[in-house]
Amino acid sequence: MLNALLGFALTIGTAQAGSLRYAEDHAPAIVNPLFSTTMSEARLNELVFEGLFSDDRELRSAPRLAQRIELAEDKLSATLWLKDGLHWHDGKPVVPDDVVFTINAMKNRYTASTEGARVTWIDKVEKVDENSVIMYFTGPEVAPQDKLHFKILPAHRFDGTTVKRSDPFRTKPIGTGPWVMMSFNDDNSVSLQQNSFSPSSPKISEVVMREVSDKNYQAKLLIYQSLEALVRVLPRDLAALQNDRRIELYPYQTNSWWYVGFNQKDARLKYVRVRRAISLMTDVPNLLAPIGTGDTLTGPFVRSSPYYNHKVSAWPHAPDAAADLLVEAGYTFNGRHWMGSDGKELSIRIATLQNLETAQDVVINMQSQLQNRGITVEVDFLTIAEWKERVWRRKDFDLVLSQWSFDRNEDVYEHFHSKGARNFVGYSNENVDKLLEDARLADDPQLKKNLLREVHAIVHNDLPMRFLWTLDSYSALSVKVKNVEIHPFYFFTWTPDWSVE
Amino acid sequence: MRVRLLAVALWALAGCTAESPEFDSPLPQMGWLTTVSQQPDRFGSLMEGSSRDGWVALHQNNYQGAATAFAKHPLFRARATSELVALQEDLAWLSGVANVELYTAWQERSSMPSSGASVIVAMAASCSGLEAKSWAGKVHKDDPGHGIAATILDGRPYFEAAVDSPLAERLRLHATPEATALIAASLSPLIALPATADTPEHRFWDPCVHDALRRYWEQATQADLGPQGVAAWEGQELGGRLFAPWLTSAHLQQDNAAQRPLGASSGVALGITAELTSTFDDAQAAREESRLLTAALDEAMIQLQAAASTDGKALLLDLGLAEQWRQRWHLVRARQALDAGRHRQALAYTDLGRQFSEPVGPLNPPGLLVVSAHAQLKLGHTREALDTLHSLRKTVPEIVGLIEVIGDLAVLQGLDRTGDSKEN
Repeated sequence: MLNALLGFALTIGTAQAGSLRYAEDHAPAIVNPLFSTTMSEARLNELVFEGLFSDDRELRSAPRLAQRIELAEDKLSATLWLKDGLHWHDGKPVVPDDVVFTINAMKNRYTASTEGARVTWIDKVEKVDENSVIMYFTGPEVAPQDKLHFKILPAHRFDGTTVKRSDPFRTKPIGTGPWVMMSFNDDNSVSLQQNSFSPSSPKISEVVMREVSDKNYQAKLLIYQSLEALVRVLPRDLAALQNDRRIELYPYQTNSWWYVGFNQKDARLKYVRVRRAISLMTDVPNLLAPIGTGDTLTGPFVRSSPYYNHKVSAWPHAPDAAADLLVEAGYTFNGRHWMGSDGKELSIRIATLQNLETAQDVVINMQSQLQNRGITVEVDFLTIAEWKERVWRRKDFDLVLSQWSFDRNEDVYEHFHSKGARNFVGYSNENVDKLLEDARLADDPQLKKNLLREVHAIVHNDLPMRFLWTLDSYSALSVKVKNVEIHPFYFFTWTPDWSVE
Repeated sequence: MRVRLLAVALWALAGCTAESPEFDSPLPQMGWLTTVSQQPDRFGSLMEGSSRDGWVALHQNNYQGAATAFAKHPLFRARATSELVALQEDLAWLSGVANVELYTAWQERSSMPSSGASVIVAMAASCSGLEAKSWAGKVHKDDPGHGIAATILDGRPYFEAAVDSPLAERLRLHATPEATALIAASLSPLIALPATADTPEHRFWDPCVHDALRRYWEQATQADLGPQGVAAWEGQELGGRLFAPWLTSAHLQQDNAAQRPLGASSGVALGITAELTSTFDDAQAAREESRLLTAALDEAMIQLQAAASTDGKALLLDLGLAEQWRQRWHLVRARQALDAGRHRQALAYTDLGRQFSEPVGPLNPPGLLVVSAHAQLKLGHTREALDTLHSLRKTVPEIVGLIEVIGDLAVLQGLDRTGDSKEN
């Protein structure tokens, strides 16, 4: 094994002085913030792009591309000035047209940006002069800078605000961030070089993102100093990494939870009895065991969340009750399989990502559990590109196994509102819609908590998803990396201050 | 800054005696770690001569269990209850800070409920040594806690207020604290206001439960230690130090005299000064210091293991004594950093002290998580503080109200934000 590791280390090269090599489970399929859907994409965006504002180390909104913002007295508009002397990686100056373009591209329904929901509160944006824009809001805003953290794109690299995912920008992105994208490599790694003109003066000369889907391998590469950082360590690897004095762990709790999503446009799965039956056939602690320790969940928040409803009881593992539900739903058991009233076997497909090793273990275990109870299960292991096409765009799936990660706002509106941009399971409940809308408008923290705890209880019962678990999440970095502070969601926000010995 | 009442009160009563090194050999002078590894029979005698269950519980950072098991050994019971004093002091300080931050921010948004809230923050400020009268002055005469506010305005302790039931029962518990009843009561809000046509339901949690528990355990500790104070532990040989952050009686004396968290000077044995060294809130400096200490400790343990008998080596390794001491030193250091307002350093020390793969128990003292959460809160990482405190829900059930308060603050701080979410 050691030889194999050393061989692998040789193939990925030796670190240059001031070089940071980090591992992701899978490489980003696309580097365009308009279409980011995964954490690996969000982390890479943080290195290459900047927003008008971003979090400072105390998580307050601090100007990044913006110089300042002035809110109108009626709070219905704001004028924003850009900093002087900002340049894109290709040397062109950053101009107000870039801000106008980005917001309009995000709002353009033909672009179908996955980030579109982040600008719905902006009614209109216009260039004022060579250094400023004015934004008009759909309603009064108290602190618009808190919502202006999305990444700004260079207008001059696009033909119009209708942007396609396939636009060449996705592999040749231009940003203003502290590192410049140099190459997408054949081994799915990505190389970035220091942007020496960046006002944030990054100290690390080179950043390399490596795709390493095998989590065991990730940990060993760090131990053998072939990487400087792992963004996510599985609970089972924590002890080994912590006992290595050349490595230090950092909490990186991204409020993440695993789930099995049911496609409610499917003729069988639209019935809650069928979804409940599948849930009751599933032994969740048994699915979790191979991954390590974690907290099982009953709703769309992690247990430490202020919105988690601790009064909701978990669905039990109850195959007999599941059988009763299937009978009520019109299915019959022929001794081997559950048969529908149309005479067809109850057969479902579960889709998950191809190179998520841990997800593969879970989905195969789940396939086994359901097949033992008479439901035929096929598994689709999808590439990221296939996932985006089949799950996000075409909704061509029965069940999906995946994981959502949330920033500290834990806003589940887009996932459970009937019009939510991330609601690809097709869930719809008028009460939940109303609760989510009221929660967004709530100005009282206790009211907001109560509303979202009610959402938790309802979606637990409605079962658009079977909520599985959350894993404690930590990052591991070599002690050679200094001045490390990790953003709790985007990870790399404060990387310009890091250095490597 | 908090005042370590126990240390201050007892120092005046404590006698000072110097302690010579325990071994003349070239072995590392690591106090009780050296004693246990080189003379395991002394460890065995202590177990047999006192309460093995008590030491097991203390080793597991189960302070209440240790206090119960040491019923017939007051000086050792004081070792356990003094840990409870420190833990509740950490929690009380965090509770004061969190409540004042929450209600200050809530008031700025002009959405703070007119009833219930002001008296809670007045209480929180009062029992945390913060300015309380300005909040007490805002409490309306129809408010259920008006009597408490009036008492605070009179300059008297909040728990002397004459109020109607059920608040009266809770205040009685605060006036003459008793741990079991206080903890049971703390699981329900202090004031619960049902929803009306104009206002949603509101629940306000007891902000002073931790301070009341601190007072309770402090009284118990003082009663057990007697007039000598912590100096009583010096005469107990191994029992006065085993599992403690102070390695020797001399360290205990020095820290008590300097009014430092007890155990701070133990790092001197490994080349680390008793006081914080860097002049500003430098997390990297804290990390470098921790690495130096850890490297020196690893080296010392290699020497101690090499010289130890089979039994001594087994004790050292099976009980994870070096790692446990390393953690306790980090907790002490984190408290020093927090006292000095160096929140990044405090967070670095707690991160480096924690065993992330382990729950709260032998390898994670609960105080480490409380200090970590406090540092996170002060650094604006309020939501992350909830993650940290969540780990304490089972072992410190009275923390439920504090978690709700910090949850309210996290929600409040995010009200103007649009959330982001991604897959995987």
